[in-house]
Amino acid sequence: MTEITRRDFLKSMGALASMALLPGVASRLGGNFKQGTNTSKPNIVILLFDAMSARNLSLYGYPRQTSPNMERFAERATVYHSHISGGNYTIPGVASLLTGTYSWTNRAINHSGVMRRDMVSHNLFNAIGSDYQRITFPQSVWANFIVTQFLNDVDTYLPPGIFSELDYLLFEHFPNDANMALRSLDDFAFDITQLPVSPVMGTIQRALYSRDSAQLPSYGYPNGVPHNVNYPLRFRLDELFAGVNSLVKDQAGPFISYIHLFPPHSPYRPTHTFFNQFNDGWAPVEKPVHRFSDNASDGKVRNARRVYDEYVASVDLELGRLLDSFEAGGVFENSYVILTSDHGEMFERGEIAHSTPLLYDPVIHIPLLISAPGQTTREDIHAPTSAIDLLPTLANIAGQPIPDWCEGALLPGLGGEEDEERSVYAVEAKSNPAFGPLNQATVAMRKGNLKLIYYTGYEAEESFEFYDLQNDGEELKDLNPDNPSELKRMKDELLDTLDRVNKPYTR
Amino acid sequence: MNFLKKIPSRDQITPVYAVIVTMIYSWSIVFFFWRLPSLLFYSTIGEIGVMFAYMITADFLDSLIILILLILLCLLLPEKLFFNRFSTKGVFLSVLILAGIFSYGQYYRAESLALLLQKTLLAGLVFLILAFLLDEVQFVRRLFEGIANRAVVFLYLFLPITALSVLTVFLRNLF
Repeated sequence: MTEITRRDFLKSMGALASMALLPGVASRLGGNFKQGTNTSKPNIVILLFDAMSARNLSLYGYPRQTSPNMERFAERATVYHSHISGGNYTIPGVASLLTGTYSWTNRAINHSGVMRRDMVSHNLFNAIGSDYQRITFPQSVWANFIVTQFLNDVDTYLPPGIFSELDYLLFEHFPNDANMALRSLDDFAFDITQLPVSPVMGTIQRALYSRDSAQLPSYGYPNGVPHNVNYPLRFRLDELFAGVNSLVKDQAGPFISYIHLFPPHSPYRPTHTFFNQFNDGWAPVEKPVHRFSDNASDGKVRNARRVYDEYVASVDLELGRLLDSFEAGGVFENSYVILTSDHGEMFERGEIAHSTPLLYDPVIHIPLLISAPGQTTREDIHAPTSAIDLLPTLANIAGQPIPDWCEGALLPGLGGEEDEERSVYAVEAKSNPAFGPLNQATVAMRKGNLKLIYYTGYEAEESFEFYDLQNDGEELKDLNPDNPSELKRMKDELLDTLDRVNKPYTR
Repeated sequence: MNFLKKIPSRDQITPVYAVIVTMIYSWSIVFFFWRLPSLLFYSTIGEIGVMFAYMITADFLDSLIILILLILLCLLLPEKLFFNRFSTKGVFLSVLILAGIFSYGQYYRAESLALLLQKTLLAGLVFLILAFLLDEVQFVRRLFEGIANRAVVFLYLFLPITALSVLTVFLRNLF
């Protein structure tokens, strides 16, 4: 018999009340699950972990055992070793993944991630088509800035707080205008990180959230329960993954679920199982502090890395349980299960986390593992791939044509071929207006094992860095001063590409 | 029946509400203009207008909360204490309450609800006493009466904006 806790009861009552008051909520919150019509099509489960760097996963050779369960999953999946995110934070990362276009095209380049208005229908859910039950659970509020623009193509939208201990997000109560409500209320009038713009209700909300947060039991989390510091949302990993488990297992096919989990995004909150687990004296390769970094001290950077690794391991443990449950429930038999991230995290060169103009591999190299229905062996792909490649690949899997607006290519091993000559990009341009050319930006371009990083608008002169990742995976020896012949070719290509994407916005 | 008669008249309420509206709306509008350059980075004028509408709707509810609080106080306290000269005492009290909230927001620290309630009650009591005392000083009373009467002009500006904003929020959420 399932035990119903007081919190479950309160949540049910809350959901019932909101369904009664706001009929639109009912369909969004799952009261309107449509039955699958075509069971021959495979299901698609996208599990995205916010801010999970491939460079910190033992799966990809990291010395700390942070991801044994991912390694286990890899034995039945295609593992992409050079998968690049669309940018170094959630907005461009998610927008690239869900639209199959780079952020310089879809223009979700800065805070709040508003897409180009004429491109809102250019999204994964639209490309997959209505044969599929299209479910989204963007637990990361930043992912909501993107996903809430696509609600016309989504059948079931689950709000960030649905599997949480506590949430005071307001936009969930405005299902017909979720994106604007999110931007107007949670991100502005009731922003918990600044003086309340709404002096009375905003102050009351902060006081109540603070009271409720303080009362939450933090057992199992020596540093406190995971939460979002920018938005009023607190959760526990076990409850979150239990919710995801029920969400996936209870679906009738065919369905696609985009599940964007907030962990291991900062603040890092390892469980007691992994707390201090990596206090092991291990130190990464020393790297010089970058002139554009926050100049954080070595000690701070090293400590942040350790706690992050412990949090990643905590997430991996829950992931292992989830995958075991998928196995027992037969999910793998008829589903593509995809593990990935929206961007990485860096702990080097004086920088912590990902709010940075830098685009070194730790912040853009993300995991991608895809397990096809019934797959029992591992396949490894080493050619560079991009987040924008998921959309065409999934459209193809769903039996739909690849949209002509899509900039991605079919992933190798899933209809595509490994192409060492193809260029893939990551873009950081949050200081630019969405309606103007990229005047201050960092662009990383990857071609085979070569990587070019271009900085423009930060200093009087633009600058380049050039690395050979095959021989210098840590990006320590900048080959730019040596000026090899490949460099000129890549520079020209990158600058031509930037000219092209800036053209519509240049007067 | 006597209880209902303790509700202040519209003439008494108007200057009090005008002061509340002026303070709350001005506070928010300052924030809005402070945020405007960043909004212009990624939002169209229409979207910025919608954000403004949501903010004004929240401000409207904020102002109603303060006004209802004052009217409740009027109903609960003895007639002599608050009902008489509601317009000036209400103005004093609303200014003090809002100033208290603004400064609380400024120095906000996470704390328990019990502590917050204690602080609120204590501050409320101090504000109430201050309001009575200020009301006894003729010069201050006249000064605030003057300000309140002049603030009424802002109602002519803010109330139509509020009506438009509430309508915008309703329409966007109905369809």
